[in-house]
Amino acid sequence: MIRTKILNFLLFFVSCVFFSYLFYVQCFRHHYYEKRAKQQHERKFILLGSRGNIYDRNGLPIATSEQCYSVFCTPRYAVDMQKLTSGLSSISSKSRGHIRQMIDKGEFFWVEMKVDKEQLDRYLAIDDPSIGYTHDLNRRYNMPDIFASMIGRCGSDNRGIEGLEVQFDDILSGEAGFAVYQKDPAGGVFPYHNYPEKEPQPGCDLYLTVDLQLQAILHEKLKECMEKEDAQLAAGLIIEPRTGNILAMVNVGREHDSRNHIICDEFEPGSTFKLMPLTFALMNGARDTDRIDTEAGKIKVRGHMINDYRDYGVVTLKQAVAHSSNVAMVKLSREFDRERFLLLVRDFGFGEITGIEFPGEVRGRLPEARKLNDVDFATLAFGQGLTVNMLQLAMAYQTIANGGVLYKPTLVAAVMSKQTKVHKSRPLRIRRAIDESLAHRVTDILCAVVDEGSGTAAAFNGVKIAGKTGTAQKVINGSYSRTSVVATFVGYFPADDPDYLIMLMVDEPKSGYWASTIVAPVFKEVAQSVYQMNSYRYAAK
Amino acid sequence: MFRKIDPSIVWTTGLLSLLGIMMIFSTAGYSIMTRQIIWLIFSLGVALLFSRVSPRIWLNLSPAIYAIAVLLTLAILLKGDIYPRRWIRIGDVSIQPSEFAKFATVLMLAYYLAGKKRLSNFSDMVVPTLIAGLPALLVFVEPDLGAAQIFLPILIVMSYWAGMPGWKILILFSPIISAIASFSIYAWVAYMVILMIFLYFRRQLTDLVYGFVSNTLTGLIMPLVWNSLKIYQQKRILSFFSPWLDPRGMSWQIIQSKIAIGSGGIFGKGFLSGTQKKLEFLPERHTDFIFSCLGEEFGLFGIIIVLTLYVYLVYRLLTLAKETRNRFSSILVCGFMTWIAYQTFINIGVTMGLLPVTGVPLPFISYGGSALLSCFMAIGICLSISRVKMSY
Repeated sequence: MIRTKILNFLLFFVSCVFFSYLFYVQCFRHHYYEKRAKQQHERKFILLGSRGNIYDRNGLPIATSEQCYSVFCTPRYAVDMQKLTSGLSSISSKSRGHIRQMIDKGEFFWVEMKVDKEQLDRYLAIDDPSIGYTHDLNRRYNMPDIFASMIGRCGSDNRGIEGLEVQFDDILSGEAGFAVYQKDPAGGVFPYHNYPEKEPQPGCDLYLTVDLQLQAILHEKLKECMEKEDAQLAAGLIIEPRTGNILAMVNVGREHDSRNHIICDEFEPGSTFKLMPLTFALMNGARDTDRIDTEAGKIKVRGHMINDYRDYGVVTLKQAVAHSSNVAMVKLSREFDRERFLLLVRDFGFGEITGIEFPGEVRGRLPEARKLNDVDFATLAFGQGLTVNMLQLAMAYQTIANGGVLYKPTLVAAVMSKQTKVHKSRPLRIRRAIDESLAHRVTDILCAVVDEGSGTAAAFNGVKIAGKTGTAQKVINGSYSRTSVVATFVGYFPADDPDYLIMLMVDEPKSGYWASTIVAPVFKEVAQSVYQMNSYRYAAK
Repeated sequence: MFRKIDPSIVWTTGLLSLLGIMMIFSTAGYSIMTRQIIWLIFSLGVALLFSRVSPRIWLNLSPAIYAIAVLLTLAILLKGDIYPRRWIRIGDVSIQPSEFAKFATVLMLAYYLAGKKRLSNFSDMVVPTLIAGLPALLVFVEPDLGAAQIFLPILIVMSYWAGMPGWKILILFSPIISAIASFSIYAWVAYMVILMIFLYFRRQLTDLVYGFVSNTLTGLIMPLVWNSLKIYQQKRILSFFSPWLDPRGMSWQIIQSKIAIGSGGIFGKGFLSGTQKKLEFLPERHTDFIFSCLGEEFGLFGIIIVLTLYVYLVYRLLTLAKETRNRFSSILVCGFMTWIAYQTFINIGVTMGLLPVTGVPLPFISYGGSALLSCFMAIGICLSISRVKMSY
């Protein structure tokens, strides 16, 4: 029967085609279809771990994270366009026209990001299915203008982009988790017990060495100074000399300037650098009573004239430093072994980053001994021809203040996870730069600066203060400017066993030229406030 | 008496129905499954009854059954108010007359073809074409293209089985190929050249004249008719044949169905665990696309079993048609076989994405009382024929 054979063949042929195609789809292409299936019915949600808080040394909050909400709108699901438009525009800060435009476009858009519960409820009160919200985290800063340059800030994705926020981003942000949900074609999403999940881990909290009170005082005084002087910048540091802990760090710049100039900018130190030739001279046998002729305030080095503020006549070494005589320093430095001098300078931390936990620290530039000619070396003695960042300079004075040991400056006292203390930072000793008795001799001489020299404006209440003024001419168009200066003052007290080292700097003050009249009084105000804050402690002594 | 019936027909259809109940539970839940179980029990009863009745009575009843089925189909066209007009509601039960029209048409065709001792000319095909064409047209107007198309293969295979020469049938229905080819002038010219060479060597004047005239006419008229349609009408027809033109509508179904089958793999995701099905990505889960759920939950393994059952059932029916000595019975069994085989072929071909989307239920497995009942009526008759196949 040919008909039966033909029909049987058809049956056989069709089933062969089906079997082989099914084999192809279910075996060879299985992974592809499995992937497509997963793609369309699984949805992964990233769960943010809450960002750790930042506290000052006493546990007062500086930066905190709080739950907030981001509101979005999907006009496709809207019930009443008119109500939606008027509702949104009455709550949102955006203009009615803008909102109407977005709604007319018909596509998903964010109405407002990072709003609080109250504002969210207002949006939800519109009661339209097109409005939805997601959970988000908001970073809240206490006294942002005081801390801006130090703490930095976060981007909208809750990752740090400036300052300590970026430096400690890994520690603060914790670990993001995720959840996989099942999704149906209409976009409905529901949890499914068999899918992998990961709980987000909250970030650790950061406890700074910074004292909020000191920071506030320093900021207030610098701001006053800034307004009075109409300067480019007023910056200040308070350090605990015994440990290298930074107690306050303030930059008051022009508008919208959140840069941390203390760490990220370099400048020529000027007279404050006289600390180095002074120390080196004392190391090599000079005495504070040694007499130096300042040659009527003028000295010529290889045809290059170096001047003093005025003619001091024949002075002791102590007086020379107190009045900050350039001529005396040049004469002292003539005897120096240049290699060894620069080694000592390095031992004090110049020419190397301090290693503070802050992004973007500059190293500063220290000349090499063999490349220096006589003029270069002579000017180096009073702080020209090298650059430092302000923190390096402060740390050099810290070395003297605590008896000759250089510490690593630090901003972080402890890192705490939510449950346990993970890490408490301890003072990190870098090296002993000079021996203790020499450090005390230097301090003695620096006390004379405030007692009788250029720093008398810094004295108060008979507290024994060691300090040094610095007025560095700025290099403008390749030569030293006569009018633009960087005025600095660095000092520590009580000089016998210092608790506080304060360094201040005013960039391009307008009212004057000399640090002794511009910065020293500000130092006095800051130091007096700090001193009075702790007066009970000093009274007990 | 039971010893003589073909047991393989009983257990293949029985297994397929049980599998159908399982899959309906998996895809549509308990209450739908209960309905189907009631329908299945009723259908099995009817099949049992039919299997014990002598097949001869159907010869005399055929015209009456055919008339009732056609009238029923016509009635919902005139009275039906729910579009598409496919169902009659009687109390709590919906009945789909097109399913019974298939059954009745097979009976009627067998009745007519059995009476014709010789089939050789085109003129012999006029009445069978009208018999199949009338219900097909009514069902097409409902509209239900999926059900309407079934009548064509039934007509072709039954008349072929009854003795109509195969070449004659090919030439007779060749204008359909011409109509499809006419969308591309190159394809149409190539088709016409091959057809003419073929007809020339056939050396039969009537074939040559009919073949040339009908194919040329359809080839020329189709483009004219096509161009007179509105764009949206053209699109609707095109998307019928090519789902990829309508990615959100029909091709969505195909894509989801293929993902379901493919992601099932060799052993499947397990009974009740199909994600495509559960999350409602699959359309028509318990009716037209139930085979995809089967592929997803039981994998290639399960599909091979099901396909083997179908192939074996069809093979047994074909063998029965061959062995049955009574001409009416033989043609009748062949008609039922074509019906079941063709619906299975279309349904599985659609779910695998090999054929354009047309809604056809999978015999014995898909949810639907009318389809199940009419299939089991056919099976009942086949069983009674198997019992007496040696008698004329």
